[in-house]
Amino acid sequence: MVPELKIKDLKASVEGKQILKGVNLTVKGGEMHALMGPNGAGKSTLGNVLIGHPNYEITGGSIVLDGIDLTNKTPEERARAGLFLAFQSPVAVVGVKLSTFLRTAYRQTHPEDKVTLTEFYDRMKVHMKKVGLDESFMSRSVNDGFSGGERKRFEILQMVMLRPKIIILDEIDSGLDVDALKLVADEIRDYYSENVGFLIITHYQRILKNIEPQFVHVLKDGKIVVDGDNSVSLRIEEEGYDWIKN
Amino acid sequence: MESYPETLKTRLHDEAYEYRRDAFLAFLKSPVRDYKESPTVKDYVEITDTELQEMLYGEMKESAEALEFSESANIKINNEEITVSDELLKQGVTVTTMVDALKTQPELVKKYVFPKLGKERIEYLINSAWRNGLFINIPDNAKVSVRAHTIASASASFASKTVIIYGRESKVRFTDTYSTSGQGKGIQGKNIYFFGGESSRFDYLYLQDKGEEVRDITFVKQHLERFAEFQFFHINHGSSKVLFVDESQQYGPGSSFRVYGVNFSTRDQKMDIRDSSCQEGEESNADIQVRGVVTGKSSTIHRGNIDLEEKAMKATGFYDSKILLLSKDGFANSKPGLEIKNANTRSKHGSAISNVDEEQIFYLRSRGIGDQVARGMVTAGFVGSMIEKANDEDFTRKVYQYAESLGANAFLATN
Amino acid sequence: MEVEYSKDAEMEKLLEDLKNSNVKKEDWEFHDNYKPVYSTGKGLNRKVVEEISEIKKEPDWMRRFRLKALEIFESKPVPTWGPDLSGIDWENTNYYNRPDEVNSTKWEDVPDEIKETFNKLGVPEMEQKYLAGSVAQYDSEGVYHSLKKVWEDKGVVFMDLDSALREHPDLVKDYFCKAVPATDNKFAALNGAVWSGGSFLYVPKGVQIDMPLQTYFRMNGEATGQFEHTIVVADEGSKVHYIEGCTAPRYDRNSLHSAIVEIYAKKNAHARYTSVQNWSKSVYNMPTKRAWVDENAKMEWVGGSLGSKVTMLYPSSYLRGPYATTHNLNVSLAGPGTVKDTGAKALHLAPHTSSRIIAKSISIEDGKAIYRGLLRMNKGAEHSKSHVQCDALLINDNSTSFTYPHDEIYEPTATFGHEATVGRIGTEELTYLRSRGLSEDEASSMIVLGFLDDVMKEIPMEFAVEMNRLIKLEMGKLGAVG
Repeated sequence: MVPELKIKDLKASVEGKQILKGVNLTVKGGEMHALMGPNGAGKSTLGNVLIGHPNYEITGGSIVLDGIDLTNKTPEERARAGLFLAFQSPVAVVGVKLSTFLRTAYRQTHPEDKVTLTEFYDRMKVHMKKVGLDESFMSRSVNDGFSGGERKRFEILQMVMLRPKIIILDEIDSGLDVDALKLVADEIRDYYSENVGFLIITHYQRILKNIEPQFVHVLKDGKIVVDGDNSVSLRIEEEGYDWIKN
Repeated sequence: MESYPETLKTRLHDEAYEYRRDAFLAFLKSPVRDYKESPTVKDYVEITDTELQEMLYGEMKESAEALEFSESANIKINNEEITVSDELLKQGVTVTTMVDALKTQPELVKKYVFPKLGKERIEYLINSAWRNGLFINIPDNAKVSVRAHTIASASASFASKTVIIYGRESKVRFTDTYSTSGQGKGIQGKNIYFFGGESSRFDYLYLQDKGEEVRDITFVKQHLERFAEFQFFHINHGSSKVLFVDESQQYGPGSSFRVYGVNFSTRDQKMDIRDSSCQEGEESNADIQVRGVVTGKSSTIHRGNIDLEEKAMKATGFYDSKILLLSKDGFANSKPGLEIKNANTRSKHGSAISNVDEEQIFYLRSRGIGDQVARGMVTAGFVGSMIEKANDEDFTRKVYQYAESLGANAFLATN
Repeated sequence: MEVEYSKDAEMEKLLEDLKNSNVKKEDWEFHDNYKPVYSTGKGLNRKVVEEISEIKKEPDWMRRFRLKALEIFESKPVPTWGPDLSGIDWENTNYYNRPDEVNSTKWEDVPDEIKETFNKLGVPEMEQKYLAGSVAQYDSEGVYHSLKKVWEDKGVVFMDLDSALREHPDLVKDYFCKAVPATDNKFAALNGAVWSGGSFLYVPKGVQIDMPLQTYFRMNGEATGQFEHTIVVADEGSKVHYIEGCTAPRYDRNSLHSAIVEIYAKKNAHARYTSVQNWSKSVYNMPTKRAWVDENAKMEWVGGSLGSKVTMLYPSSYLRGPYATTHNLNVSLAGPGTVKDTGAKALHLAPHTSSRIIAKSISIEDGKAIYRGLLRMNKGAEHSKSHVQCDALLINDNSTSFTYPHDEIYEPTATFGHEATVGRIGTEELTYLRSRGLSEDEASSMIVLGFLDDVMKEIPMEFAVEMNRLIKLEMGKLGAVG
């Protein structure tokens, strides 16, 4: 079945302040979407609201993945349903090892897969190499002491290991140098198929040169104001956001 | 207490009589508490004089139950009876009871045991009233691994004394586990003194996991000669009331003292965990890190003084305490202290008390891990990262097991 | 055998003591070395207290309060948990010293000698330039007070407490010793019994005073006690900054300063209290300072503790209402032969309260700086936050520093952190500055002032200048530092 994430008239607020004012967006398997917008438009809020961050309150609308209403679900229920957010600045969890963390998460998201520990770790090592993380990271604490780039690589590693259906990448290119960006883009393209849909949140057009999205949306002041193709992103690169009217 | 001098003269009248008597005098002379704090502050783990009397007059008892010693133990202590593996004796290590040592090792006892009366009130009392304990002597240059397991009857109240002497350039790894058999509310005090020779290296792994109602009082002292290194991993899990006092005596220049301590308090347990350094040696260093997890109606207090004496030129001392307060009815308290009497030193302390970080929990949950499991993982990581440094599978497993077994009730979601 | 015998005898005696001490545990705990003050001559007794009350023509409730406080004072032992206080000469202290003239609102009426002293301290000049109002106290009594008319018209009350007790008796009664009851500690009880002078400042609802108000205290007599009592009430939504400066000349015999400061920051109010004390090195400085901070109110303590022989001071904030906050910034300079036992207390009694404490100390020669603090988060103080930072700088080899914070957390949603460091001026820093042409002295004082910067920038300019001067002076005396 081709997955489908339906965001309908989504409204959300943080500390009583309305940030999302009715967002409509559908992401299907085999689709690559980019969500752009000026600073403060609510791009990161959308990512956090979709994965269920407790600080954000959904005040209207719905989030439905493959017919299951996720609007009022906990973050883990959303993750188990196949939603994945690569965070813009992932938090460090001191003392919790990468290997333990990923293994536990995998067991929860794929209870049907009876993979052995060794097989799982072998799989992990293969992908670590691909995203450019040294094997020694397996016994390190989650994000603890990681550079900005290492955190981003680890987010991508989680994505390929946990095999979600709908993936939101929040400013995945920030903190990455050119080579790292290429590695990450390669991994994203490798993982991309008919069975997964991407929503790439970005301020700049940089990452979109490596991954060409079919759909580009512009979020401004809590609403999507432009729906178009990759030509929109090219225009933004040349002219900025000023040409877009609310 | 009044009849104790009589007891001293009769029942405890052995080769250590004068030492016992001097220690008792010191006990009588020392105030109930030395004031480094305002008198309005309560003692959170109070050991009453009634309790001390129970310990004073109590006897070690034979356990009724079959004892389950850890398989890997090469010293097994069942009350006053000790079993030592041949392999350990072959390495030239002397292991006897304290009572035997008075007769068989009089020179060493005179040199190491008698000059040290202690520093604190209850410590003095234990030095006066001990019934038995271990006396271990490890020769110079030896490389040994000792795994001791002591099981006492939970209902027994007594004081014991253990002395471990290890020679110059020796390398020792010592795992010391204390548990109890049966049920009971015994009050059990022990002093454990180390005497580390020059350039020695000692890794000490301590685990206290006694019965739920036992009251445990422990004083650990590391006397460190020049360039002696001591690394201490301690876990306090069992007992209803724990007073755990650890203080290095670093008179050796260049001596090094590292502590990684972990404690779990749950139910209505009360734990007072004190790790301090007392540094006289030039360029000596101390680095103390303690972590506590508080659940149920329990309370944990972490105290620790970094004491840099006048002579301790270029010494460094660091103390760091963190407590996770996970329950509504729990109580966490920290009282770090710096006593810096020499300007040519560096020292620092820090303490933090909070619940688990909700952002961390959210991050784990966003990957599909349930709330309770996430809290368990973060808690286990918090304490596990301390003990893992010991590279002891058994200890690491225990810490994770303790953290994860805190159960659903331990983690009150706070949002 | 004789040695044996004496040890046994000693043991017996000690056992006997122990037996007795268990009966009266209180006494044992305190190691009481308190001697009651003489009932005649100098010193303190019922008669002295009644006399003070009589001179002041006080209402009867105040007289009774004083006598009750005296009883409490006599029943409490001298605290032994901190610095040595045995140098306080209870018997030979003058508990009440009254200057000749009465209190005035006109500067010209102030006696010449006193005027000259305050002139030297720059009081009238400062009033002109920076202040909304001021009070001056000489020994036990206020000698001068003024308040700019614009504030008087808005209902602000600012005068010495004695005058306030006469002119606004009900207002005073509402706040007198509510935050600091006489039972609080021995020195608070003493103040309750013999208090004289101090300021009373009332800022009505919504009134925001943009200029600070100031009191200047001068202790002149030898072996004198100064026991002022200051009350600041910032009513709902008001804003006020109150400043105190204290000095005394040096005498051989020790003097005692035991003040009470009570601050009430009501809902949405913002109160700031700044004090810089430069008592002479014969003064025991033992004030009790406390603020009640209500809902969404903000209390700021800014302190500079330069002088005195011994200071014990822990300004406290009781955060009583949700979203109440307190900041506590303090600098202590423990010069040669002096002890500074200072710190802060913050008690979080309501949800979403926050506190931030920064304490800096400098020990010079055998000066001893001690940080002692209490941070408590009661159960129900949900989502409250606190951070405590104390840094100590040791200037000489024989300088010492002690840090004794105490943190009690009963609330699992609270967040608390504490950090402390002790160090000395780094050779690297010193060398770097000297390589740029600074003398060793200049470089050292520059580093010291840099160390104090967090707090210095919060201290009013004229005091900061004075503190800089004092620190440079103390450092300069040492010659080569480092």
